[in-house]
Amino acid sequence: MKSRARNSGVPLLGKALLWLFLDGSDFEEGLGNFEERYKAICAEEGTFRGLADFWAMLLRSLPGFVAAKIAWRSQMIRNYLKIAFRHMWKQKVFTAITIGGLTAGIVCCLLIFMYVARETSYDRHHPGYDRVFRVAEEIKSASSVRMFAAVGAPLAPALKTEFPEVEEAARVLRARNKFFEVGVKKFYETRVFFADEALFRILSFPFLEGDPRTALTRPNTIVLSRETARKYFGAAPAVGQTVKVDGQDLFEVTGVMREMTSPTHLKADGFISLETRRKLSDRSLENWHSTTAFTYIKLNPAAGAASLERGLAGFADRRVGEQLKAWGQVYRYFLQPVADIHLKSKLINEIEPAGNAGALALLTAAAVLILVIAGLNFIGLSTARSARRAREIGLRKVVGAERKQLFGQLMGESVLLTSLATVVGILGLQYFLPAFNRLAGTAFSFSDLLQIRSLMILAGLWLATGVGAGLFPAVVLTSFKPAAVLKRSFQTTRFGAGTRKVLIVGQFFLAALLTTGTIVILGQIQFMKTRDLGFSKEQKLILPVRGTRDLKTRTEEIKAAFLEIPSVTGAAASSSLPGRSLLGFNVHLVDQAADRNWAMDYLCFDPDFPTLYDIRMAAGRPFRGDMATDMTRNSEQPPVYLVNETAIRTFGFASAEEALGRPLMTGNGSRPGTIIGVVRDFHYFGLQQKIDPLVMEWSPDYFGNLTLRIQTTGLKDTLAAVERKWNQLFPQIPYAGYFLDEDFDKQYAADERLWTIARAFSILGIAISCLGLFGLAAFMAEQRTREIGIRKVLGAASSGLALHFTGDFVRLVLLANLLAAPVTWGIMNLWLRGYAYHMKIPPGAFLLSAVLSLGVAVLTVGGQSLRAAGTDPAVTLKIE
Amino acid sequence: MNLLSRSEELVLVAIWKLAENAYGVTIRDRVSADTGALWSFGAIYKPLKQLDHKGFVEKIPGAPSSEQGGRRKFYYRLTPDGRAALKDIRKIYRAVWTKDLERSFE
Repeated sequence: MKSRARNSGVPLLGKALLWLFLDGSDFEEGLGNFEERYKAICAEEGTFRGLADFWAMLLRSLPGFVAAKIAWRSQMIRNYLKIAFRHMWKQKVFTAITIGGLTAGIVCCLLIFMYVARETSYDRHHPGYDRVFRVAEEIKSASSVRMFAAVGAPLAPALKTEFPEVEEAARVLRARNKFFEVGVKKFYETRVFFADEALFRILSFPFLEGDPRTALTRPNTIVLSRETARKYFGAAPAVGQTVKVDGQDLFEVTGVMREMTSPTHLKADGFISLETRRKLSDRSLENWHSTTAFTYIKLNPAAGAASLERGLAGFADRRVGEQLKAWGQVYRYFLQPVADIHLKSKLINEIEPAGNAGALALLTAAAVLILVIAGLNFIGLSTARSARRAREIGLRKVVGAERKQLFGQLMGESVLLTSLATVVGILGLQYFLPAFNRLAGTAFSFSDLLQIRSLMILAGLWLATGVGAGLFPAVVLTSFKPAAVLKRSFQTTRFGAGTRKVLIVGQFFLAALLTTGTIVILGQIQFMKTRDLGFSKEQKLILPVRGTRDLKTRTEEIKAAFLEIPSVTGAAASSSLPGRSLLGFNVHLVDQAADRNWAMDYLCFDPDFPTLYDIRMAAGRPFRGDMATDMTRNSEQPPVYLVNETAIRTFGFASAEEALGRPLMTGNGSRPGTIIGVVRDFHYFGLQQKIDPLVMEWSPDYFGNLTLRIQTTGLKDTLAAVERKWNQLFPQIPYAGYFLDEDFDKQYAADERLWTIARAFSILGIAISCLGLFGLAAFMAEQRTREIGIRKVLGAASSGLALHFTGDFVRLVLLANLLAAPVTWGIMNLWLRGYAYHMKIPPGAFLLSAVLSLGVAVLTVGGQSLRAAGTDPAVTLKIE
Repeated sequence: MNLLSRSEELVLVAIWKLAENAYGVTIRDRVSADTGALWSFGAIYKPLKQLDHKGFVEKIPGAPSSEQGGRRKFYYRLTPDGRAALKDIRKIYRAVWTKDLERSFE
């Protein structure tokens, strides 16, 4: 024994390789031959030569082994395929359920993974994107820390000249709502920006016409997106043409950008050269304290972001340190990798709302859950069918098949089923795609599926599912002892009963997660839509008035003109509206230390606004139309202010009354004003956001929106009358009225989208689970016909029997729901935490989801049970 | 007539020559010696399997041997069909390699 152990000196790895390539006695034979030669050479020429020869021989042998295996296997695989298809054909229900479930799972996962891939690919197409950063700013005062996406305009040029690490720096400034005119074509353009010429050297915006290097070097030049250029100039070349902006200045088109195929957070229909503003010696471009310039930089390949950030630490102090000290503020600049902006950046004044990383995670989880549920179906049904397969497996074992081979055969069958599901999925995808695009707000086409990345995702899903689902049944089936299996009395019905119970519980657990989650999402949306916002958003028609100063100078005149329409019952002017972005200014109380100051939201409106919107007072008085001093006409007279209750708390006052009469200095005015009233808090943003401190002023200079309260009866006529009036008053400006409640609720659009997708997923999840349950129930009914027959002979009633079998399943579904409740509660509370105002998860949500899945389960199982229980015992007992 | 591939033919001849002592190691040595080229175990594996499958040789497990670490040796022996196949081969060679042809190489 001892000598044998010493002698069997073939390296273990070599042995393993041989085992992999040779089956059965071939392995023993091959290993023996290798060993004999190895030992002979070792004895004659030493171990080293022996080893060298062994490996050389082994490596040279592998091609031969593989060739033999393939030649041999192709015979067997043909046989396996025949058997597999025969099984699939014979058990059509099983095959349909499995393929159907897997198809749905794979399609869901594929779509969601494509969506995730798109969401995570933002701004990765810029050359050297890992060296491209946006400089953002944190403004810290004694009482607040706020992070802004944009910084002071002078920063970019300063960075370029003072930091050698910075290769390029460019600014992008919003040009809010520009009014474009080309001949008779007049539109508002909302996605227009001012930009430095260097922008095109940092971010990639491929040009169709013009030269990106020189497009923005001169003043009064503009680069348009292809879509916008088409809108104004049709198919004719746009470069060299002119666009009239805001009714006064002419801009020369110097470039046309191609449609973006890769997503970016900076979606622009036009870039106006920043040079335009510089030439007008725009003072705001020298203001270090504004937060208007989105600043993009590209670093040298050798430079690191961290070292630049350290260098930026005291940068603002060096420039405007004295002023900051007086205000008690600290500016800290920091860098954001450009590719992180879309999903991770949630700063004030973002260019577009950030993607929802949380929702993305929820969706991915839901899609994977669907696939897992479908996989569990396969596992459950395969083990249930194991009685039938066991004989075949046993016989194969008897004639000399090895477990290794049988395992491969069964795995192959699982992969084959998954392949069919994948093919069906791909074929069916073109019908799902439009629906998915509508749900997810994407624009995927079938050709996106044929890209390398999606194909790789698909291949991954296919293999993972095939192997994952096949593993357990293969292990179980190949473990049977042939002698036991081939005996007539072998019963595999009992076998795996426990496993199947666990699988059913698992499936319905996952389905309960999906349904309860969906119910909670819907509940939160309802909560947000129906909660008292502190103002009324109904029956408000909003007319944005831009491109004219009329609303600022002739406010009352315009309001009166619209009030002539009988169904218009109120009118008010304001700077902005609930749900739309507000101004922001720095605010401090004059009688307190200068370092106690806060950045606060700022809203300007006329005295009719609070009445129209049902905004209630907590203390003091509102603006009064008959008091001329309430209105800020110019900087000569001190302004008066209203503030909200949150502002009172921010100031640190114990009561609203305490604030009345206090002198307040804001970044808007040059002299202190007085607080005359406190309004009750109202949600001027959606319920995702906390109410912030708000300062209100009657300053017509900021008026840009007119609100009309209209009667709901005869809406069509009213709208027509309003539009007619508008065209009389502002013949040169297109009418762009909209309803406030619709606009406000757009803030919940992302949540509603999440809800619709989650709803589709939970329906799918339940449907697939029930398909599996149906298959299992059918199988059980078939297997237990004899038991049912005997029970009936002994006097059991059909209805009682059906109840008995249904009860087995119902208990499991109930258990699954019980187990899922605390998990869902935890997960959904995490999700709800993303909302400043959210509902408590009602117990009804769990109840509803449990009733739903129980109901569907009873429907699927009950039918099968009834059918089985209804059979004539004389017939069933004769068969056996 | 069932034509054999070249490698099958070489292996078959080697087994015949080795008579009672034909197993992996010796067959490989024999074929290598006959052809003057290095044959790996893998290279004789497929022809051996094919010959076995076609019924020209039979595989007989032997007694455990110390040379092979206590494993059984698997011997190969010609079946009557194999012997017939050898005869066929010889006949074909005779027919192809006529005396004139042989002489032209000398």
